[in-house]
Amino acid sequence: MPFLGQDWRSPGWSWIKTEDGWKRCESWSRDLERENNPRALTRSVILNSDDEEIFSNEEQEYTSKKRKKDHFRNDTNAQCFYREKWIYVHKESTRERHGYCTLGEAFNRLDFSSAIQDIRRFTYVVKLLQLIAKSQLTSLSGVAQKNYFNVLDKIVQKVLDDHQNPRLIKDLLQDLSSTLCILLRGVGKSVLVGNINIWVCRLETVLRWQQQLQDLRVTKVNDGLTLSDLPLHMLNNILYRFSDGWDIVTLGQVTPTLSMLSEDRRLWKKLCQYHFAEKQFCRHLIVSEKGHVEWKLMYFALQKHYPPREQYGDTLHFCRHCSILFWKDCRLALLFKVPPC
Amino acid sequence: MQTMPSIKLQCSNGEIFGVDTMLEDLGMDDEGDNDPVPLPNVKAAIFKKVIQWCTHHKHDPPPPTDDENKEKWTDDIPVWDQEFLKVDQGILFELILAANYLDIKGLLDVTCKTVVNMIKGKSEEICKSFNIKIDFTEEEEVQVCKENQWCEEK
Repeated sequence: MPFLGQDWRSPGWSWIKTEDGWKRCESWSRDLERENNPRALTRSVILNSDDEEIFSNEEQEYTSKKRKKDHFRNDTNAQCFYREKWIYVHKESTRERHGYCTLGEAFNRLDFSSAIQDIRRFTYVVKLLQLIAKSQLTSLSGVAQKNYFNVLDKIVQKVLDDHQNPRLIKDLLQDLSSTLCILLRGVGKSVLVGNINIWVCRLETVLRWQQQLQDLRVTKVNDGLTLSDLPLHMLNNILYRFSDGWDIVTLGQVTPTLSMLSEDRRLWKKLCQYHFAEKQFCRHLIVSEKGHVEWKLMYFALQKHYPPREQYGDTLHFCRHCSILFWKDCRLALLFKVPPC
Repeated sequence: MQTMPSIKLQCSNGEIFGVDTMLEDLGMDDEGDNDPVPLPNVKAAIFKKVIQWCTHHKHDPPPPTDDENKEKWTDDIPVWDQEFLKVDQGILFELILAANYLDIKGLLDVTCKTVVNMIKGKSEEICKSFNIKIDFTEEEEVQVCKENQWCEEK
């Protein structure tokens, strides 16, 4: 590892290999008290500085193997990684500051790997990956591609584990596999970054994931109360919280009670009003013979023409003043001791 | 601010809990009525969890008046609540019923959002996930599927 330090006089930093590349590391074992449980932790803080150049991001088996061993041994020396989740976005490098900001770096620095474990960020990250899959795959560098598929792998494993919102991931994988097919068959070596065989492997992986999601079976575990034991107004309360018409239709196919509740006109009216504007209603107005507006039909008609409303718990924000991309709940004010922009 | 008196609450299996009145006022006067308030619809185990949630959230600001836009927002469950609600489905539904009975809006909100998140994005798996017996006869099922087939047309 070449010498890296703040300037040539300093002793240099220690570095640690992680799945996402080399990260700088400082030991805080003196300052932090040990926890009183069998897993006494030696904590290290991995820092990311914006004026660092991250050199080698080769896929390292070392740390992932170590983590697996540690996990099985009920480890006593696990390291916690703390990351400041922001990235400085600048257009060119200067003599003083040499760094780069690419999509691959953003994946690391904004820590998408742990963002997906947070329900507030999960949907946002998936949508981001979907956008990339539709149009930006060819512009990803080698590192970015690796990180992209790493994050995707974690997402698929998470969904296979907890069965949350599989439709979202199936859509993403569908877009990804169609783009990959088009690229591999239509465009080929001249456009794709990296050996074409890697891309073929990736396509096979994506198809395998799709199959796994298709075969996803939920085992019955519940002996207590079930959904159908809830009173009507509770079921209604739940139905009104859905933002995707598909979920309402699917739930309506389960019991006659839910079917009746899912046909409620007011429910579909609220859904249309949530996603679409009044002007859009007028263009696609559907009225029944009795003179009522057919909101359910309108919802599906409108959905074909206009994009639905998107709302996320936590999103990335960009501060134009500081040129920083950050997660909304990141406490940057403390970092820079200035009021947030 | 007056100190809140302790109130005794008795659950369906006879267990008695003493709580500070962080729940909304029960409409009781201060004249030392020491009999425990009966809660026949709430089991002790569920009530313990309710108290746990209330204790954690006791310093929360009052929720804003119903915002139309927030009704559809299910992503904003705080991390503590996410962990708290990683329980069996049976318990989750009992919590919903308890929150409804005790009129604790915040708890009702997060539990319903959790259920919505469990249902979102699924299709046939829903029935198995939720241990629901399909109540339709075969003909009815076919009928319902047919009625909804037009939704799939692109």
